[in-house]
Amino acid sequence: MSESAPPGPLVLVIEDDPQIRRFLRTSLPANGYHIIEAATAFDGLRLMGLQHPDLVILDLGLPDIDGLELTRQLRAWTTTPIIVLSARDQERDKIAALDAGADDYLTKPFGIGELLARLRVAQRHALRAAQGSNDPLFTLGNIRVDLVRRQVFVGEDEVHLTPIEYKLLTLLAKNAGRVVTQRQLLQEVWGPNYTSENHYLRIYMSQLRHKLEADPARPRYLITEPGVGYRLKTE
Amino acid sequence: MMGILQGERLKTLLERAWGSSSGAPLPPREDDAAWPGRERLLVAVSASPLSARLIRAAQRMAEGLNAEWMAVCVETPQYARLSESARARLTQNLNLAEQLGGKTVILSAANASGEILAYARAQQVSKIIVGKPIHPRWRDLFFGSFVDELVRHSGDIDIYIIHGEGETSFVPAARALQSPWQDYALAAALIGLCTLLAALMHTRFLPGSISMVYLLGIVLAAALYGRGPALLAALLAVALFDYFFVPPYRSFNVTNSEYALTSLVMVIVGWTVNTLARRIRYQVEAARQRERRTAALYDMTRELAATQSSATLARIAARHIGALFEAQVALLLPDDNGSLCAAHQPVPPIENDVAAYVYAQGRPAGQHTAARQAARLTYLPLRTAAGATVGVLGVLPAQPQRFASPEQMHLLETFTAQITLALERAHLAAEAESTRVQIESERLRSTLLSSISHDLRTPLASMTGAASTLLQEQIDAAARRELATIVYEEANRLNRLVANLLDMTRLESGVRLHKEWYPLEEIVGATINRLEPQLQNRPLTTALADDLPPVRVDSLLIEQVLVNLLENAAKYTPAGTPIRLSAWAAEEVTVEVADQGPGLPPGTEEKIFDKFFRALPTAAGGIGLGLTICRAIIEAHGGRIWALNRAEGGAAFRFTLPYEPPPEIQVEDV
Repeated sequence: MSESAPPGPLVLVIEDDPQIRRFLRTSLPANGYHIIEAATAFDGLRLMGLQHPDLVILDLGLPDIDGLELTRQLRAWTTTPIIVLSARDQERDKIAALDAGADDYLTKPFGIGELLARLRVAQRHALRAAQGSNDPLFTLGNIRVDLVRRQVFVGEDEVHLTPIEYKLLTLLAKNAGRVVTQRQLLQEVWGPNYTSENHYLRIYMSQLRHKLEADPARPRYLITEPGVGYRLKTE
Repeated sequence: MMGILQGERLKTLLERAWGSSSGAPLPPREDDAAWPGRERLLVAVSASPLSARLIRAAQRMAEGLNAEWMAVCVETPQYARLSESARARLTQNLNLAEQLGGKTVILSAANASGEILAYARAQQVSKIIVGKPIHPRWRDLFFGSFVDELVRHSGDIDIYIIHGEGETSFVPAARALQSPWQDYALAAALIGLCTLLAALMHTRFLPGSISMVYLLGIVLAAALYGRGPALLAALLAVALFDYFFVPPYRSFNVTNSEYALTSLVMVIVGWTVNTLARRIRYQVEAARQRERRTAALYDMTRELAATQSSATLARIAARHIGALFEAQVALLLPDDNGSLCAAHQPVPPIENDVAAYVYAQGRPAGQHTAARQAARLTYLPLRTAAGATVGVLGVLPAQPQRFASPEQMHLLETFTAQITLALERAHLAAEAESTRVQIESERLRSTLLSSISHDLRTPLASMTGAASTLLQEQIDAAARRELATIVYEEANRLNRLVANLLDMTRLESGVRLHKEWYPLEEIVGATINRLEPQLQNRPLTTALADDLPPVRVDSLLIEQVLVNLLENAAKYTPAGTPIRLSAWAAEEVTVEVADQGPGLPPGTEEKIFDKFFRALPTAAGGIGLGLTICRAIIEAHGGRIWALNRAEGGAAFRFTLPYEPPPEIQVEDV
């Protein structure tokens, strides 16, 4: 549609509330994004096919198709990062959308700072996936993970991790900055039969914090997203 | 108030069920006044087979007059002598009356006609129906006629006398209370003893004095034994006296008419004393029985009065009725869906359809009632004074014929009435409680509305003000930034208020906990992460014991508790003062949020958990729901939450989470 490729990333906002769209229409271009808007899921799908945006911001409470269903439909044919917006009482939908392939979520009300951070992470992740990056070294603050030698260092000291702890850490590192749901973690680390054994996950996350964090009760990196999952904080 | 009413009511019920042997008139029932012009019929019923005819006649007459009618039986002392078959017939007669829609009443008194008239006047009866006497006329001369007395004293009540044409006459059955042969022997022995004594006196006393010895023996035998032995004693005494002590000796001939009179008087005295003694014995027995029933009823009533829950009421009632009637008892009460179910255990097997019938119709059914007689149990409705049926009582007595006796049935009905009263009272208490709750919630709602209008408008006012200023063009960058900060902060505050209101609403409508196992550390971490912006200038220390077991909680809700407590600490203490979050495990896990602020105003440690209570109403902040939400959440988890002023200064909020044994975790091999 556009004659020349826009200089910044193109964001498709699928949101029925005109004031939120208005706020995003003002704030996102000011931060270097271009924006196209859809008030319904139907319009969203249409624009998705026509304009191939780089990022999607999707409200879960749409009037025609619910956001979860739309996420599934989109994931059937595109890997474009999706960030879902949810109200406080939509916990279940939020998790379901994430498990269905959404990249991240934001709970309303949210500040522009949080939204930009989510967009940056999603972009970076999409970029890495596209380039097939396999950097053998992952660094976060004073934590270094050598993915080739399977060694973890805090400062200069090597920390011994169990195989499960190591798997958990690398999985979070691979998704650095993004939320990973409990279900995704359990399925990847323990296997498909363990997707409801949440307490296993919590015990190992706790052990990991004790090994990596200065104060496990006030983690700086291994952040809990209550009720949803975990996030390796990068910023 | 309640107690007095109940006492009055109890008395009425007792009298209604058992009659008043003293003949005291019953107070007219309240509903009688509502029908001043309506006719009332009373039919006097006895064990006679003719009574069935009387009952049918009364029913027809009542139908014609559109009148209420009742069948009344007066238990006189003679009733104690009735044979089993006569008793059964009486029962049949009364049952027939009930089946035909009449009320049945059993009164007990020595004077049948007086009692019936007294009862009829109390009940405002306009017509009395009695049977025509079929016994020989000479009996009336000696014993007085029931019908004559009734007619003579009836006053303005009409008396109808109906004859029992074409039906077999009622033959008094064999005496039920046969005196055992021992009594005869003892009576004879007593007179023998008198003869021995008389023989010793014979030489020194006149026959007149000797007759006194015999009279003593006759009186003793009459007082101690039944009619037969008493009569034997009298005749024996007369015979022996005449034979041995009245000239001519050793002959039954009595030449002196004085001694003939003495003999006659001896027999009459014996007869009279015996009659009096029997009457007294009957009344003592009747009083004892009444006493026992009253005591049983009183026991139950007293226990029922001390209970509120209908399940406990049912258990108590079942125990008392079971003990008194030697029966298995089932008290069935409607559940929330309105279907009957047993309110206690164990219960005899219940015929559900019969119970449902009784509940729906409000009429007795089952054994010895007018309806569904094939049922094994006897079912009585629990009917309130207002006519509503609140439950059903099913009884299976050990003796199948127990409730064939109207007297036992009436007693059971009296118990039923008491249970109904107790249930009604419990129901009223529950209703009063729910009204109180409703009033309370109305009050809360209005408080909530005024809170909302004030507390939600305040941030809106500053936001509107700041935003409208931002819209003006001549503002420098610093002011612009300041105004935008105001809008942002106030919007956040508004968000928290709304969140609290929503949480409270959700918790009050009955929260379902999604409990899972968590290390407490993780919940604390998530809380601090969430509060980071608000706690930026606060030294916050965490001190979690190393041996904390995992807790089984709804993490989102417990996080909310910690958020509210930490926010409160930040809000009510001077900026920059430290806050400490600590947790330790003993029998349960205790979590504490302690500050070093001014502490709580004395006496408010409990109140601060109340809805809309604010320790410092002017302090910027919420609407007094934060701690109420905390309490609701912690109590839903089975824990406790409380506040205290610390000895070293500042306030502390503590809550506990009950200990549960954590699940087994398979530890991986390293």
